[in-house]
Amino acid sequence: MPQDYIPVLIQILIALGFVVTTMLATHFLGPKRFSRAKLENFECGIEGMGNARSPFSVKYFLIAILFVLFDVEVIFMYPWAVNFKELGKAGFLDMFLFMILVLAGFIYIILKGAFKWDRR
Amino acid sequence: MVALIPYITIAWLVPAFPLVGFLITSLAKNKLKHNQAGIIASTMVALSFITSVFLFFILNSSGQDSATLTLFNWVSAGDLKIPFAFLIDHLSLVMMLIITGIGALIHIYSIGYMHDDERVNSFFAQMNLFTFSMLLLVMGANYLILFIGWEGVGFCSYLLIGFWFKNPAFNYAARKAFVMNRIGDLGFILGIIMLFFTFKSVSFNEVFTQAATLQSGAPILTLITLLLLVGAVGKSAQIPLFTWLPDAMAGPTPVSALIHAATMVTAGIYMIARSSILYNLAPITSNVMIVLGLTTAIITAIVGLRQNDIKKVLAYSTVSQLGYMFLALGLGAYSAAIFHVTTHAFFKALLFLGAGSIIHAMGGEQDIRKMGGLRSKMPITFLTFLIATLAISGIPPFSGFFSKDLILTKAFETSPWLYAFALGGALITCFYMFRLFYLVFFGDQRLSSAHPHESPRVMTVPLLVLSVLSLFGGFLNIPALFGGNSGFENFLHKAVTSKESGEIHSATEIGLIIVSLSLLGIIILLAYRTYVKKSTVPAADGAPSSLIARIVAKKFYLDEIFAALIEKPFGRLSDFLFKSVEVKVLDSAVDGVGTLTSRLGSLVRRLQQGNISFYLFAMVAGILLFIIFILFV
Amino acid sequence: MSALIFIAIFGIIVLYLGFANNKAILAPAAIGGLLITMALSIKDWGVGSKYFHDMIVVDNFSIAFNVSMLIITILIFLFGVNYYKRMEHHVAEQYALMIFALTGAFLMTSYSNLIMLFLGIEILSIPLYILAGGKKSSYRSNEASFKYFLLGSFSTAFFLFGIALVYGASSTFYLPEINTYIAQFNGHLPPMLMVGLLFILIGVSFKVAVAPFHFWSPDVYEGAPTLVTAFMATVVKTAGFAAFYRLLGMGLLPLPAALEKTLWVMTGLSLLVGNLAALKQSNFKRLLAYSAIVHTGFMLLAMLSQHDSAGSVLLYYTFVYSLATIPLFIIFIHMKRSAKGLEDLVIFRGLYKQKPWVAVFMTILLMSLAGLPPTSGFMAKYQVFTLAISQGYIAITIFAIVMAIIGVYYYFYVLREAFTDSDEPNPILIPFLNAALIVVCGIAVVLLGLFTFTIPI
Repeated sequence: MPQDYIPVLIQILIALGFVVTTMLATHFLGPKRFSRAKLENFECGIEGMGNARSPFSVKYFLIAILFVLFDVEVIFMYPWAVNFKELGKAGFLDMFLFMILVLAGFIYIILKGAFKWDRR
Repeated sequence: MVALIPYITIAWLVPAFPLVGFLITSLAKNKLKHNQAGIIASTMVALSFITSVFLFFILNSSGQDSATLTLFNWVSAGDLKIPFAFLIDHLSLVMMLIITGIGALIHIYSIGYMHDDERVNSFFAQMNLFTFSMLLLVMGANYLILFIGWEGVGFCSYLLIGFWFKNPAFNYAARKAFVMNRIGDLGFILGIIMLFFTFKSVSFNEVFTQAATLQSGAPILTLITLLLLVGAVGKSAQIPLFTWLPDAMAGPTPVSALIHAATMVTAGIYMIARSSILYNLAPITSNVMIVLGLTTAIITAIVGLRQNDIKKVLAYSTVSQLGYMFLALGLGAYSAAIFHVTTHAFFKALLFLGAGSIIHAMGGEQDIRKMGGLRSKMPITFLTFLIATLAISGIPPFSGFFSKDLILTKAFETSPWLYAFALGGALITCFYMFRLFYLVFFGDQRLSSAHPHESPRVMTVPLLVLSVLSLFGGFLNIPALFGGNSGFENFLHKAVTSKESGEIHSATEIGLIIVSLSLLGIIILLAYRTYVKKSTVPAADGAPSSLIARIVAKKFYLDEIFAALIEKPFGRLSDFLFKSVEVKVLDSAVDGVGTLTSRLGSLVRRLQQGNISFYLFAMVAGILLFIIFILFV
Repeated sequence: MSALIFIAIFGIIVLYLGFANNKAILAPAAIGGLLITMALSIKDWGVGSKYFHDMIVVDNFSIAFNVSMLIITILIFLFGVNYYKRMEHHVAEQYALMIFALTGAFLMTSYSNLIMLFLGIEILSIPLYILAGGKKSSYRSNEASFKYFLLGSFSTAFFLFGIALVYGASSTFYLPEINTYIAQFNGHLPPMLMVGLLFILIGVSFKVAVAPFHFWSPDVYEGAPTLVTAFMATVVKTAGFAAFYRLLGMGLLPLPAALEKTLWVMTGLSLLVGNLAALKQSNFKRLLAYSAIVHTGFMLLAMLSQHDSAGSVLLYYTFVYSLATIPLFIIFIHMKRSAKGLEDLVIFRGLYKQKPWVAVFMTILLMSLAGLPPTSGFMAKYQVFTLAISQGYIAITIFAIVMAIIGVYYYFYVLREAFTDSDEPNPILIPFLNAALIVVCGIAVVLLGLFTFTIPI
């Protein structure tokens, strides 16, 4: 019922209040001095060079996404591996089927040439 | 024998062929090469004819009187259940044979006649559509399907009268035909609605079964039959709604032959014959029909005497012959009326096609005063036209004699006066037909610029076929007097119920025939003396003439009377409605609604700008509003 | 069930067929697979069974809708034979993605568990996001794909949130159990449940483009490749409505009064907004998008006024609507090709002069969309209206009828263009297969109107 949510509300208020208070506090308390060096981007102490928004190959994204995809698929194997004995033969077959499907996708992207970095 | 009846299902093919023809010729009208459209259209109608002949034999040898073919359930709303069904009986078969048989001949003839027209493909498409509608009209098993056909033929007639639409006068004629038919249609629609309210059905079988239980002369029946009669009067061009038919001659001649002589104008006759059971129970309506028919027959025959346009003469004679058919209907001699429809279809189609052949030969000239001496130039046309003229005049043994004599005899059975008037009309018919015939074929050629020649074979062959029909068509129904068995009447007897009438003595009958034949002979001689011996040529249009002649030439001023009585008041009323009510009140209201909607449309469209953050905003706003609504309202 | 498994695997097979380097076999193979799926579906007719801990229910309702969607997809594939002829790469993917989407659609017709519904919607949507961006070099196609994805994931978030809230309240995903849980409150639902149900309804409403959650559809319809648009307008809409119908029938009916009113407001808004926006529309694809929104309103009307007998009405409505829409898109593509890529209504000019039969069939199809007799579109609307009137919803029905009449205006606006002569006519080429499709669909649209069918579901 609505009153059940009052603690949640209080927590939201405290969280927001903390952020606002600290930001305001640093803004008013901290000393400010603007110079060219100060306004530079912080690059681990090395001098910044060029624009950060330089284009690079779209293939990078492809590899990255495929990595995430298969990475996530593998997560499914952890709970299965832990419960391998309990799940028994049926569990093995299910995972086998699952792996076949994942493999089908993997073979598909290889055949499609997603990993051929220098293909035009 | 009954086993043959299942084969009756092929009946749907009869209207299907012309419909297919219409679809092909109209959809591919830009693709079809020379003559192709005509050949396709003619083939389709011919196929329909062959199917009709099959149906004829099937029904005849099955021993049944009629068969109903239900295609599907068409209308089903509450009490109203109307199947899309065809009724095949002897009456509809006769009409189907006429429509498809003569229709096929006229289609073939048109291949030659319309040869040089640039819109020949459209012409055949419209002709096929007409044939389809006409077949629906006669085959429908209820008044609603009949009505579809009825409207369909009216529409095609409108299209075909105005076929040469570049001439404003022709367009006016088409419009006139359409509007006059609409007046009749209004009565027809009301009649159908009354029928439905009275009998809770519009199917022929149910209506007639129920009507047979009613008292003769019941007011509701009189009202229904009168309303239906109004429709028939419009479609079959009777007084006072006949003036559209002579004007309808603006259409190409084959159209006049098919629509305005052989088929469409007889739709009214068919409808009344189909409803014979209702009309038998409404003596008042029958009397009205006698008066209407006889007046029309005589008056239009008189008007025909002074016409000089070959097609106009034929048009007035058509109206006059339709009058005879109405007379027969009024006398309760329904099968006699249908018999006259049949023979009239033969000889009038022949006359029109012959006239077309003449016009074709004269290079488009239609004035009989400028023709003459065509006998030697066009022997086949001459011969066939002679046969048709003899047939329409009622000379034995040509077909017109049998049918007209049948009607005259029936008239005599009712009253000698009727007979006398009807005979008078027939004599006038004979005179103006021979006047036309002599002026066209005898004497010298009066127009020097024309070079008449016989028409091509595609036109003369249909003429010859029709002349054979005109010659022998009467033998379908040889009366007992000549040792026949009245085959046609007996054939129709199963479909229409004719009134019983008193028999007259065969000696009287022979006497009547002798009287009429001798009078006809005198008339023909008179015409011969006037137009061949003295070679009188009717005066030019502006020439001074007597009062009566002027009245006749002006068609009894009927058009003018119509204009004064109906057109002008209606014109003023619609003028008023248009200028003050329509423009000021209705238009602004309708425009206002339209503008408002359209403004709202622009407003709504402005919301859709393709800005995705706005979309998201709108979605979230909508969701929030709905949350507020469901939680707090 | 075997149909569902088969079509899921079949999608992968088609994907691999793409390596065979023979584009010609793709469409026949895909159509063959769909036919097998159809046979497998029909085999289960009248059996009625449940799978996966009752999460999936295969009954006559789902089979009827699946078969309907299969027929429509086959029509689209038949058309694809010609459409994809010019495409060099990734043709197999187009077919495979549509088959994957169809798999999702199958799930949407046969779920009885909210998780399955979510899976179905996602399996349907993700291939569509890709398909919408099928023209890689076209900005508008990319834009459509991106917009669809962004707004789609947004609505999915709401949908999931709704499921979570409902689960939080009732601790179940099963619709029948949710139904019994709701019933105990006698119409006075706790706010959490209320909001949860609202979010679920909104999530589904988004998929079928109900106003005010329709904003994506005109932009996406316009930008996506036309064949994909046709797929979205027909199959996706059918699947969405099947899911909607299930959701109400298995779980949420009788709706709490406030939610019911909300849905009625959405119905009225869809009818109004779709119509008004279509009035001033000059792009054909956007016009059909708005017209689709209006049709959504009509279908909602049927579903809300009388749920039990709405199933067959919905099936009929969606089927004849799809049957009229697909050939219209086909005609549009050919007109667009002849007009060198223009999408305005002007491109239809001179159609009657050049291809009168196409103009005639287009008239029939547009008449069906406008709901004029004797087409099946008329019968579909007629059924909807009788359903609503029989339940006493007179006011909204009158409103809907007025909206249907307004609709005639913009459909006939297209026709007016088709029957107007063009100043500079471009040659229109319609290959035989497409011509046959147009003719068959046109005739079917009329025949289905003359012989209306009702499938007991």
